[in-house]
Amino acid sequence: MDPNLFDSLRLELRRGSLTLAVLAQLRAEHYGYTLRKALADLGLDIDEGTLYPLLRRLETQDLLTSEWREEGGRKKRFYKLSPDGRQIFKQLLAEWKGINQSLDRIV
Amino acid sequence: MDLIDRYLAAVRRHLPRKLQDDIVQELSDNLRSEAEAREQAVGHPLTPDEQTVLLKKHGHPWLMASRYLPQQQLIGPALFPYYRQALLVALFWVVLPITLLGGAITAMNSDDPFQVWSRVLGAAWNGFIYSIGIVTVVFAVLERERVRITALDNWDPMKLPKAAGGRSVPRGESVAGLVFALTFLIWWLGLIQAPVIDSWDGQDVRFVPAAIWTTLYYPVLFSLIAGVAIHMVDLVRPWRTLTVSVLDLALGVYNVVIVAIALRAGHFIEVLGDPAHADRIARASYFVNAAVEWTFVVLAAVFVLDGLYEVWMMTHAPKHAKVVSSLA
Repeated sequence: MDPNLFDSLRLELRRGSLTLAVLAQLRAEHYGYTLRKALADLGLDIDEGTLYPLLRRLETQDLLTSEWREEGGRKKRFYKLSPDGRQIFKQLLAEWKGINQSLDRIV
Repeated sequence: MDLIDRYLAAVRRHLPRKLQDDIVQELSDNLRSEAEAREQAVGHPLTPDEQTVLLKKHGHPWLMASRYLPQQQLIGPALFPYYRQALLVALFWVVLPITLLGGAITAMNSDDPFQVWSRVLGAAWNGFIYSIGIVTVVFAVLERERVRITALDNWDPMKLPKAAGGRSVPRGESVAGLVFALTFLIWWLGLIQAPVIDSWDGQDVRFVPAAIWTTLYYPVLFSLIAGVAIHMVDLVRPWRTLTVSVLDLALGVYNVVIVAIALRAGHFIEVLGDPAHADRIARASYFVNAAVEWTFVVLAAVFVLDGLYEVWMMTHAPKHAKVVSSLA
């Protein structure tokens, strides 16, 4: 068996889930580092190299809003869900639950 | 300047100018937050080695910067099937037929057909590369602009053609056959001059076609034109209908007959030279004609095997199609 196959399939499986997890976590405001830490504390590790650019992409898709604020002597960029983001998150969550229930029945 | 600063500077170099300050500032804060958390955990400022471990988790600066770019794939999965189809149409329905047919016509009307034909094959290759580039750029732009192609959304199953029962013909096979047949056709028309051998073993000699080729000139010409036509049909429609298979089979039988007539004549090349060296000329004539004879024997065997293969495909491919449709 191709040793890279599992990694490739795993990456594919995680990609959509990560977006959903980030959207869920950003119902409350976070900046990059605390978001990554919060997700890791909940059991979902995301590479820094994946998470930070993902936040940018979600923002350009109008799913997140961000603002620069000073905290702890440094300027930080805080992200949270936009109104569009909330709407999409609800739809994605319903979709994910449906897939999950189906998978539970299948496997 | 610590390693984090050097990392940020390296990332900056690979970012679009208008995004550099914003992204680097945010990345800087994230990295320093992580470094501070790590320092608290280990109880001392991070050593260069510890900073290295931290930075390596973020990936190479070039990779890190590229992940921030808005377009992460040149052509995404939604556009890729259209891209692939557009590429196939551009290459095999436009570039190749136009180049080969146009090239063949130009070669036939030029003073130096061999050179023209060589240039045509080179031009076909360049056309391939340019077409791939142009189609790829167009689709990359569509991907970047997030254009969704809806042309095929309203397709009607009732308008699908009847299932083809014949075998599929690989395009490589059609292209190779077409190039070979066209080259041979141009040579047969006398537009490409074969190398002239005018001396052998220090003696003046001439090799000229035997009388049989005058008799067979038009039959061979017809065979070559028919072969080009069949390869063209295969190229445009890469599966064999019963009609095309039967025509190909008939052409194979026709070719075997031509080869049989040539073999029956038994003499293919006249070797002319100084009568004073008649024995050498006779020996040369024997070897040359024997070589041509064996070539024709092999050629006849190839035609027969090709015909048998076509018959086998004609009788087996429709059964295969039925099995597939019954499984669907």
